[in-house]
Amino acid sequence: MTLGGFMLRRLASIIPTLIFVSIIVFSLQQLIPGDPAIAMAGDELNDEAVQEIRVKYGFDQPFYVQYFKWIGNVVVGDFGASYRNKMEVLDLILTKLPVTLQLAVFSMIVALIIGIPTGIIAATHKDSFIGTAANLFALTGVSIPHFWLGIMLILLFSVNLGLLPSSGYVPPWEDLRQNLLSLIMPSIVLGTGVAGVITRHTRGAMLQVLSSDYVRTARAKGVAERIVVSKHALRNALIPVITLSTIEFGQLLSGAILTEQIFSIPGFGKLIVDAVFFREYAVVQGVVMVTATLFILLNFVADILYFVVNPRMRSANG
Amino acid sequence: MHNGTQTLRSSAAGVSPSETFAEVSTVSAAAPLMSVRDLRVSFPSEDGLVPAVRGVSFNVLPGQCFGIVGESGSGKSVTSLALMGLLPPGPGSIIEGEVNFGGRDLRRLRPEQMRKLCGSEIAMVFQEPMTSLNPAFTVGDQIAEVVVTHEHVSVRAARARALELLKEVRIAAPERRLDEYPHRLSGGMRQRVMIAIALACRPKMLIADEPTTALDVTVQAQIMELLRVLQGEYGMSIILISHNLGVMSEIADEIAVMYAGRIVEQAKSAQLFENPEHPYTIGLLGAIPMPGRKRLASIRGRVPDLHALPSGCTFAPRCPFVEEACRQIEPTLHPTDLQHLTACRRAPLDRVL
Repeated sequence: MTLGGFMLRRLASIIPTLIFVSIIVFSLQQLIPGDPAIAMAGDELNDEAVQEIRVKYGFDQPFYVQYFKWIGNVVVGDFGASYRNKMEVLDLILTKLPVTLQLAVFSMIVALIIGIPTGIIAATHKDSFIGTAANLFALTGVSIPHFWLGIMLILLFSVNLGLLPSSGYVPPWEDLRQNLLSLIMPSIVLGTGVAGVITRHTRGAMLQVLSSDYVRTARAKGVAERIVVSKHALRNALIPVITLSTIEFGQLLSGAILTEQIFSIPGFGKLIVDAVFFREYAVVQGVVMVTATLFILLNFVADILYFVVNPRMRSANG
Repeated sequence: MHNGTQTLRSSAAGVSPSETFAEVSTVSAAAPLMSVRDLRVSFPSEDGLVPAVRGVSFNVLPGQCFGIVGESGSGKSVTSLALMGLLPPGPGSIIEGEVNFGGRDLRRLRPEQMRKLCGSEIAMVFQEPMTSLNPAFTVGDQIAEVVVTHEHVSVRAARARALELLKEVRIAAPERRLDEYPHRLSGGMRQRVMIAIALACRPKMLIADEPTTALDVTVQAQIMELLRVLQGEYGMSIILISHNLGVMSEIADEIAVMYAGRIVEQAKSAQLFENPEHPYTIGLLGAIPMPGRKRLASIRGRVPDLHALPSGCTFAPRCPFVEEACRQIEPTLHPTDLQHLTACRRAPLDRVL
């Protein structure tokens, strides 16, 4: 099977998934407690006003009518508007998404740079002190709460040393240096957590691969141990790690809420929390829909990477 | 003969078994290519140290095919991996003894020196062709890698050599196979690729650990035939490890029978088949399917647990010729005939029967 054919097939399977996701996302509004019309009416809380809002936003219509109206607009990029500040949901998302995306990419880089080498060392030195230390490091990374690490970093680098800004976010096109500085600590906080997960999976995969018959073959061929590990073993051990990394990346896109709060970063996390508090269905649906779509696309990317690194996939059919 | 009787005497005089064996094994005039002396391997387990190989000594002459036969757990595979330094380096494992190869003791070489030898002068073919090739690299890359590792040649030259090797191992459509990944190849084809990898640097010694066990019977014969032909073409020595005496008979010049971590009988191939001395070997020979043989004999009992080896002869609990004395002292390998060694105090059995 060619890469093109594989991509087409995977793309085709994305469409029904997206439809299913959209139904779930839209149904969520039924599950969020509270009446959006009452929330929107605000101070002028009388039945007449509420009823007016219901009619205006179509809340009085049957569920499926509302859904089709919504999905019809979503397809052309219209997620509706926030009733609080009258901003288009799409615009809101487009201003927040790059912030979260940049943070997620930086965190992932931190996670991979720390996680993969630590995992390899933990596997190749499993019987020595070094391996134990690597394991401990991974466990610490997973266990430390984000808010605690974030506050400690702020105390050290901002309050005591004055090296890094304690909070805030500057877009890269305004001031690249400030932008990078403002993302260092949040990326470390998010990255070390993910690094722990990646370390443990890399270690597990490496241990399995290092005891495989083909690694024994490589050693019998007289290949240097360094190349046995970095070429023969790692190439195969990375296959599950790639899948894991893309899923972790998706988590970073939607799960940075706490870290974004600590460092006052105006990203997705803050947007969605505010939207839930104010019962802004249009915003919640839009954000969740976009996040879910990104997640599905990331899975698609993971599949393609998996295909590229794993030759066995290429002969799989059906 | 002269040498044999001498050793018998010196053995009685209290010389250690491994030393006497060294003398016996050099009956032939040629200097051995590989000489293994008192190899011992133990693995740690929950119940203490497991002795997998308990003092194995043998010589392999240049151009000779030396067969090691035995059941699972007899220590034959562990022996072969120990020769290559390929045993998993887990904590607590103990490997002792000497492996002399071309005037050097492989056991004393630094890892870097051993690495240079592996794949170039000593090569190995494994039991599991399905899993022994790296799934992430093409067949051509995996063959060329050995050449690039040991010889100062360009990648292009290494690739040309890979193609040449695929032709030498008689693989169908070698040009196409070069760029294929292992999963596209059958077990027999993969084993041919493994042999191509092993032969890439024209080794002096090939260690083949059950090279045909995982393959279909028809393919088994083809691979054995290929090994036989290539041994002639390359003039290399082969250590062939198998549980199958039938496979051995086709190619081995000399055969050592292993049981519970020791060699219990060793002789020239023809001698072993015609005149086996050890009751275990006799049992094994009775288990070979042959035309006209209606029922296959089986050896009663099971291979002893290495954790709790019986005292005296380890085969005693299964032996039809056992005497009380057999359970007292473990017999050492001693000459029972010309170039024929047996570790049985009742051998030669002709006297018994």
